[in-house]
Amino acid sequence: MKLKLNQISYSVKSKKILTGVDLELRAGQTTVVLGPNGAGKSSLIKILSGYLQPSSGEVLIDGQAVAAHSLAQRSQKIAVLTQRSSLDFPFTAREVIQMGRTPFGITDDRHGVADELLDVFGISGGQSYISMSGGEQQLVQLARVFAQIWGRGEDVFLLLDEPMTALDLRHQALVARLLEEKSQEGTGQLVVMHDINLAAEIADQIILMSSGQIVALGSVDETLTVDNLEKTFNTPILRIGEGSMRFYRASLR
Amino acid sequence: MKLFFLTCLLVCAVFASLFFGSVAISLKDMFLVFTGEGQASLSTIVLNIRLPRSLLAMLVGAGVAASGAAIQGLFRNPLADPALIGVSAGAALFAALFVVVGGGQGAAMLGITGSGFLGGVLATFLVLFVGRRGGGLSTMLLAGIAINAIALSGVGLLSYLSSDTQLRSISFWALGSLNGAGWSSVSFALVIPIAVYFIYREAPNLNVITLGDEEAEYLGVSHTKLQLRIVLLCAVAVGIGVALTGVIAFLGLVVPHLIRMTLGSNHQTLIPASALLGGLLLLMADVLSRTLLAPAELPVGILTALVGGPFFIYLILYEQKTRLAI
Repeated sequence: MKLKLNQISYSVKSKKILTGVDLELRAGQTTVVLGPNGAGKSSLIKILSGYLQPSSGEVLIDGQAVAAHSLAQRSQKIAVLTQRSSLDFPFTAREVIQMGRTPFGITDDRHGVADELLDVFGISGGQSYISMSGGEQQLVQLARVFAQIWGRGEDVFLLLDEPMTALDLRHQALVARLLEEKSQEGTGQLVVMHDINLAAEIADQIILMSSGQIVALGSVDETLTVDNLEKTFNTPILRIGEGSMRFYRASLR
Repeated sequence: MKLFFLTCLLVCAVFASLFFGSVAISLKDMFLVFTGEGQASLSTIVLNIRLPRSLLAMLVGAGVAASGAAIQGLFRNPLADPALIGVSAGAALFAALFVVVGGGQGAAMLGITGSGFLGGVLATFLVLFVGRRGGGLSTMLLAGIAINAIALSGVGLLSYLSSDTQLRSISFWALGSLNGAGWSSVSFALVIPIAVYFIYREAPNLNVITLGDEEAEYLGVSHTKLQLRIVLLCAVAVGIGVALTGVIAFLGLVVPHLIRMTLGSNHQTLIPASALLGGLLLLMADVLSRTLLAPAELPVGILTALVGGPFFIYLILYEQKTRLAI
């Protein structure tokens, strides 16, 4: 499966959110989007998933316009994690994860998939969602999104908006391993995150975005340079170490 | 299992309710009535007065409570009430219009019940229209509040202009009562379980919409289409109930809340359980309303509000304490 953006621009009233974005996402490829707050990263996900209509340009799923796919068809091909869910009812963790199987109807496999994901994420299924900590809720939401693509290999795409938010290091590593596993199964992935070093670990392709435009797009080595990062984040960046042992952080001075 | 228990409880309550009223009926007499060998006067009381009244209470309570559960899920707000979509206030306005203004042959054919139902549906359409023009749930919520206020001020104006007899009719209707229920009302109310069934079929979609409109779209559920279906189904389920019995306060708010606290939020359980408990509670309230001041009768809406209000405050405080303890 392939997702493609051709010359996408998106404006709200007179404010330009995205300008001239070209992008191609392939099956089995992990693309990480990095950029400052308000760079247009979340809007990029909303346009890729067909939730928002671009002001100009086209979004293609396997060469066909996204509008040619019904909502039901899209939900069977693309799973999206948003930054914040408004869930404020006492569902159990298992019930929330089962919601991820909604696109496939009320089938028996939703119980099996939910149990498997509860096990993978180490979540207790009977726990009330609203009584969980922010990090635990994020894990449940991630498990729900994984439930949507579980067992569907290269026919599907995962679009994750800041999946590592509120997660401790153990769970960040767990999610990173899961992403790698899904990538090997052929699932295409686009992940928005703020951790440059983790991005370098998991990405096949990196996009640096600023003010609604792509600053750099390419492999980790091509894109993650001090020059590109300073241009993207508009702040001095320090590189510590060399080669595969290099790390980046913002200079505090 | 819990749904089965509630169903058994409701069936027992319907049967038990037949014993209550101004005329005492023994178990033996009741048995004779059901075998067709009872006294004619007792048979009339049981089969033509009490049984249709109990069935109507059950159906109306079920419709209001199941609609409350669906509306709370749709608005993602446990404090939402079916009245928010304007159906009760619209029905009250048209019922008052019928009482005070009349309106010739057409209105006479509709009667107070038909006028109330028409008003409820029209007000709901108005809320939907304004809400969808505004583009969001919050607009619909605000439109509901505004249209409720307008309709109720209309009722106030009509009450001011009405004669003493008309005022009494409007007041009794606004307070809700199952007095005068007969088999014709029950046959009209049979539409309610059909609407509740279709609301139940939306349960998986209602679960998903609680995640948020955007999340629901990613899971293949169009929030705008779901909104339309739920609001129209609730307008039918509540509109018919309100038209037949007048305004039944608090049931649509309290019952789903109570079920959510005990059986959880999954709409596949929440909707049928709310329907069963709503039917049971309105039935019990009606039995109380006709026995507390017998031979006089208290409007059932007064009882539901009188008991439901303080109980709701308790629920809010209990829930707040539970949340703080987490």
